[in-house]
Amino acid sequence: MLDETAKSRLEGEGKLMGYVTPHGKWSIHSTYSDNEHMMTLSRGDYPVWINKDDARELGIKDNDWVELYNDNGVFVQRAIVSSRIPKETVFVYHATERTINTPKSPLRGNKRAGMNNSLTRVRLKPVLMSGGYAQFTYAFNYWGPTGVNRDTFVFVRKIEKPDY
Amino acid sequence: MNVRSQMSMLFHLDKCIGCHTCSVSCKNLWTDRRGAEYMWWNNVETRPGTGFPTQWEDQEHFQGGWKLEKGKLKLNLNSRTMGLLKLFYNPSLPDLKDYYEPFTFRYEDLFNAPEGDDQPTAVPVSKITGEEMDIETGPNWDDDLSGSNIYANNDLNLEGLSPETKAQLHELERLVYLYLPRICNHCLNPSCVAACPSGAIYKRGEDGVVLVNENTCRAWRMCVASCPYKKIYYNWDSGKSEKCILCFPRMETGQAPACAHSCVGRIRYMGVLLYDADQIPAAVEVPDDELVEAHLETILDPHDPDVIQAARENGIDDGWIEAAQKSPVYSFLKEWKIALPLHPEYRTMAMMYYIPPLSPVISTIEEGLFRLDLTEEEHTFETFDRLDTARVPIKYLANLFTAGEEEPIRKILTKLQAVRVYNRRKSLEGSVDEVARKALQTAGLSPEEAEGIYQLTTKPTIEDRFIFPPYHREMSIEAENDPLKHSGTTGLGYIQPPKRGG
Repeated sequence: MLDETAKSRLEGEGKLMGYVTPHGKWSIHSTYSDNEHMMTLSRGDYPVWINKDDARELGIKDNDWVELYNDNGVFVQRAIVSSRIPKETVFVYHATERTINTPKSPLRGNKRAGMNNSLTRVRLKPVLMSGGYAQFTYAFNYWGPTGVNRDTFVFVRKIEKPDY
Repeated sequence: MNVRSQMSMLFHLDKCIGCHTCSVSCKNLWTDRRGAEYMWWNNVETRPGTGFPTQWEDQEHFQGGWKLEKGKLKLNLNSRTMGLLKLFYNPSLPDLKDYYEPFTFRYEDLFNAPEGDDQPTAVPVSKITGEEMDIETGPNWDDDLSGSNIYANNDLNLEGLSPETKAQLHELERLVYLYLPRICNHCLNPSCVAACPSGAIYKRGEDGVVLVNENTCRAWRMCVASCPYKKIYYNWDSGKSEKCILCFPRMETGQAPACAHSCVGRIRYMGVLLYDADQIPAAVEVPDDELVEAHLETILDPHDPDVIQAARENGIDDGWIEAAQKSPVYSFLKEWKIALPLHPEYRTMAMMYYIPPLSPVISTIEEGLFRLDLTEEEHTFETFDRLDTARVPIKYLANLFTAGEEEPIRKILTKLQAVRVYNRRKSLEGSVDEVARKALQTAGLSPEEAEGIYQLTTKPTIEDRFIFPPYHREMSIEAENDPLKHSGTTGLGYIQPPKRGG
């Protein structure tokens, strides 16, 4: 039930890696991080951080394009290669918008790729849905457990420059 | 003794969180306009890294600052004759590749894109040509990167580090990075001023702010090449050079510069320093290992009656002398001696100072494994013996702040650690015990000094951090003009009536 890579496994030659989406360095409270100055001070997009050894294995250099995909969706961005990232893990700062600098995905019929949360999925914890948790009782669009949509597994592969 | 006054800023690097609020507030205030898009009068670099413009410290290429030639001070860029002969040929000038091509996004596509089966997106476009572009570099490209084969490895300050230490900078749990905020250093011996063929750059008398007179600037751009910190930029639209002005219109009205005022980590302190201009020629011609000492020697004690007397004779206002006596920069720099200028080996006598950062958690090594928690034995937290294995290599800090001399860095870090021990013992034991006293003794600090460093580091209010003297602009304007004509304005270095109406 939790496997989010069963179908996409058959699609391509990417490397299976852990995927986490921590809080954005550039997103303070609910302010937009996608204004010009903030984008200039980052890299003009929402890059994928990857360990230098994984990058070497996949033939990725800093600022190369990468495609991340699994059964939930696809995310196309540039890579940042750093020693700060543990091996076999990639991360993307969370809650980006698709409005800026979001290319198309060559793997999925050259349609516009998603944002970082396209790869994750909110899961509800069944015991919380059963109710009786203090004053809380689950009701659709009213009260639910917080989403655990911050990490999953993805395939990572290098791509040439995608279309917009 | 020729006493002059200088507004100086001090950066407490331990407190910098790398949020870039300073850069953005500076950008919004001064350089968010045509021709200035690529300028960052204030920027924050992640170190180890290559900085902005890329590898600006590479003076073999950029030819910034001064050099000693047969014991005499020479501009790195050129001599007077060569400067004249090569007036139209300046290969050491940084170009757009060394900075970056400023970009924005075609936001209107989000509204105007033709109907299709896909959602539109705003593509990156160049702010110079307006054409679509690939973003390949930026003013903060190596942000938070830390270990990186391309960026961190090419940091010139890694020179002289052992191969093991360099390898450590790539190792998870042992790597390290620090933030280095930079503005114009408003030097005492500015090479930009010396290099300008038009004599358009000057150091303002009252506060030492280095300014470009835009009416005299003839776009030779020798200043851009000659500034070793690469903090003069050429405005391609107006054809004039521009630089950080230390927000003097704000200082003249008693407000801190925008970068300092907006600083989230409250790392910036500002105050007046009195210095002896007569000592400068000698101080810039000493060997590398005496540079910092000679530099700090020129900063005078504002409590010394002789200095006060000489300052008054030079026309320095009593308000300025009083501000110098209260200056937090003076306390950190001269009383406690824990601050240093950036790259003294450029011999420009930078007047912005840095307190080098302590390392993050000091890890212990047990059976080949790194432990990040500290064992509870005696002396483990009192880590003087571990300075050499500190996560921020001492040699690296030395290359940044002391022309490679490790001893001054060691002394400062020992003091900062002693303050840490002092406070830890005080809160754990309830009093200053033997361990704390011993730590302070090793570092050469008295309990009062430790308390002072602690208070001004962690608990300063805005009034403690920024001590501004009364500028008395009305007097300096009155000397030349009818002050009523200038009511409500501050000096821009030259007089130009405001354009109003149609």
